[in-house]
Parts: sequence; structure tokens; C-alpha cells
Amino acid sequence: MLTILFWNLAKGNLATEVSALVFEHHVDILLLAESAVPPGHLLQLLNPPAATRYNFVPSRDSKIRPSKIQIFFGFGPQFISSRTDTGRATIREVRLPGRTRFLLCGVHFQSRPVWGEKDQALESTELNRTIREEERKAGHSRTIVVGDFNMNPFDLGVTSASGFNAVMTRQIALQRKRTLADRDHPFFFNSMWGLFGDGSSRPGGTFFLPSPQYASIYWHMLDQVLIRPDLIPEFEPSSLRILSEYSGGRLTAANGRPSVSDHLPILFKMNV
Amino acid sequence: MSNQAPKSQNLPPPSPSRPENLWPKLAVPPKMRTPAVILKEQAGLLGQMTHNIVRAEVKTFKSETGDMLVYAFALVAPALDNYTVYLFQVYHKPTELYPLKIYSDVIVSAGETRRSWSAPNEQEFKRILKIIFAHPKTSTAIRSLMAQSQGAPTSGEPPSGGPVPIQD
Repeated sequence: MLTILFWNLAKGNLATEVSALVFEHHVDILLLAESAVPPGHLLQLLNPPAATRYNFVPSRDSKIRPSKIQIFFGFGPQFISSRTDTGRATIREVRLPGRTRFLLCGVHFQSRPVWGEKDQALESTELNRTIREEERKAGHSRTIVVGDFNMNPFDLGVTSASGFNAVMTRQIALQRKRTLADRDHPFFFNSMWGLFGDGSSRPGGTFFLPSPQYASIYWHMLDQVLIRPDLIPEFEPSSLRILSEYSGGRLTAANGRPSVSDHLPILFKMNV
Repeated sequence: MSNQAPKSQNLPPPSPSRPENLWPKLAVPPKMRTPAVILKEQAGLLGQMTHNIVRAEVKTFKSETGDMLVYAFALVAPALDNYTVYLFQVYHKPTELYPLKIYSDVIVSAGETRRSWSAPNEQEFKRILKIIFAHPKTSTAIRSLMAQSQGAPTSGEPPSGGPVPIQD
């Protein structure tokens, strides 16, 4: 069982909060977006004396285009390889001995003030072309995409067949693909749909933004986990959580809204 | 490994179904540790001492002439785009662990471009490794890589001030 945590730190100095979450939840793979914490500093906290476990694993292409996603890996760096990196998305293959290998794609999409919904959707199409190409090279489609999509699960880039083609139920995703205009489009299962809603006991999303316009949903689910059908049996739905607290305190204000970063972290487990 | 046959050979008697075994006993001494194993152990220990901020990696390849095994001992700083310093290389014949030769372009004195050591056995090999690891150029390199990793800029853009409605 692998425990994976993603968090957009909004450039805050959150090394203490991150390391506490990692230890508290026994995280195996940590993905960070908008981190202003020097990796060396975080490694110092994550690897106390006599318990060195985590490795910072930069992208192979990071010299060309600094990746917006940082990955800290709880195993030897030889077990995760860099496949491609667009700056906004990094694709790795995780090959742990005796376990199912899979592709892990960390994303941090362009935000809505910078790119409109159509731009995001077009970029989703491009990125998914890259993901499918990496799946073809890897010879399997056991892929997890996790990160800050800067889109909601119902936005065009996430739902469109040529984009992520991410659907809200496992039952539909397990049909594997959708054929449109004589082209096959493989599904992702978007596990986040089930976490929308009233936050009397949990946050209503991962990001809070009231709108001055007529329509406002207040809570947004910008941070998401998408899983290909081949990995759905290995996904533990009950493990998927939006975290609002850590061992040292709360990540939300008294009104339940994110306070430490403008995003809340997401945590899930995979039986891989 | 000796090419001489041992004085006593407890070989099984020849039988019609099994060919006669002409080989001497070839048991590998249980405590034999290859130079590669020693190097990898030391590489692991460096990671523990630096919280994996600076790791050591041992890369194995053949010499250009193809007659020697080469182990390159490298310091790697993952937070600095995997910046790598090749500290030294160990050469030995594939058929003989010792004597081995060690070359370094880093642990050199003024005016030198390369330094070499020769180790006839494991004990001497370890003694030379201690010298290399304790050399001021090694510790300076590690300290420098650690300091930069702990303060290096991280993702593409510098931190910006103030919250924005929807983030980057």
C-alpha cells in the first residue's frame, strides 16, 4: 500500500506542516506545488538522524524548464524514473521491487486569471496526448494524475473526451474508453466528485473562492486525483481525504476555510 | 582467486550417468566483500549523514579498453538539478579484486591534475578511502552542496507577495 500526498503550498514557508503531515500519515510519495521551501531544508526535517528515508527526485528535464512540481520519494531514487516534464506537468514511472509499476503524473495547471476555460481545455488535450504517448512507451496505462488542476471536476478540460476524459463514477470509468468521432478516448476516474459538498465535518472542497458574479459555488475542487481504469481496483476510495488539520494544529480557520495555504492537501492510498 | 589446484580434492567418483567433475572446490569466502560493495556501503552512509541532501552514487562501467571494471564514486545534490561531482574512480580487473587503482581529479594538490593510489588489499583500500573522505576538498564540496541545497530556489518562480484570488 502506498500513501500519496499532494499539497499546493502557495509559496508559504510550510516545512513544519508538511513534514508533520508526512510523518502522521506515513506518506510514501509527497508532491508539492508552489513550494518555496528549499528541498534541502525539507529533507533535513523529513530525514531525522538514523531514519533517513526520503529522497528529493528532480525531473530529468528540470535544467531546461524548472518543474513546478516537487516530488519527495520514500524509497531509493533508483525506483522512480523521469519520463517527461513540461514544467507544468511531470511524468514519472514508479517501479518498486515486487510491486506493480505505474506512471505518476504531477500537474500544476495554468490558473483561470491567466488562461480561460478554453485555453485550459486545449492544454488538457495536449497534456493528455503526452500522457497517452508515455503510456504507449511504458507498455501499460496504469496512470495516476494528481495535482492542482486549477479546474473543477466539471470543467471542460477535465471532462472533455480529448482532455482528461475524467468521469465521476468507477462504473463508467471501468468501461475503459469512450469512442467519439471514430476515435477512442480512454477514461480517467475522477475520485474527487465524492468529496464535494457540505463541510460540516469536512471541507467542501480544496479551495475556497466566493464569486461576485451571480453564480458562486464557493468551494472549488481544484486539487484532484485521476486514476486510469487499470488502477481502479488498487484504489482505496475511503482513503481519499482532504486534510484540514495536522498533528500541530489546523490548516483551516474557524470558518472552515483554508488558512495556512489557500489550498488544502489531499491524501490517498493505492494498493500498488 | 588462485589458479592452483588444492592439495586434496574430494571429488565424487565418476559414474556412468554423471560426468566426472574436474573442478576444484570453488567456494567463495563468506566474508569476501568486493570493492563495489564497500563503496556502496559508504555511499549509503553519506546519505544518512546528510539527510539525503547530498547523496553518493556508485556507477559501474567497463574501462575504454574493456579489460577493467570501473566504479565511479559521485557526490550528487538532487536539489541542485542533480549536480554531480565525480570524486574518484576505482579500477580493477574483473578477475581480480585486488590490487586496485584509485584515480581522482578532485583530490589533488596544487599543480596536479590527477592523483592515483594503489591498494593491494581490502585493508589498504579502506585506508585510502578514509584519506579521500577526510580530505578538505571532499568536505568542502559536501558542505557547499548542502548549503546551496538548503537555500536553493525551488520551483520556477520566486515567491510573490500577498494573496491573489486564484493562485498561479
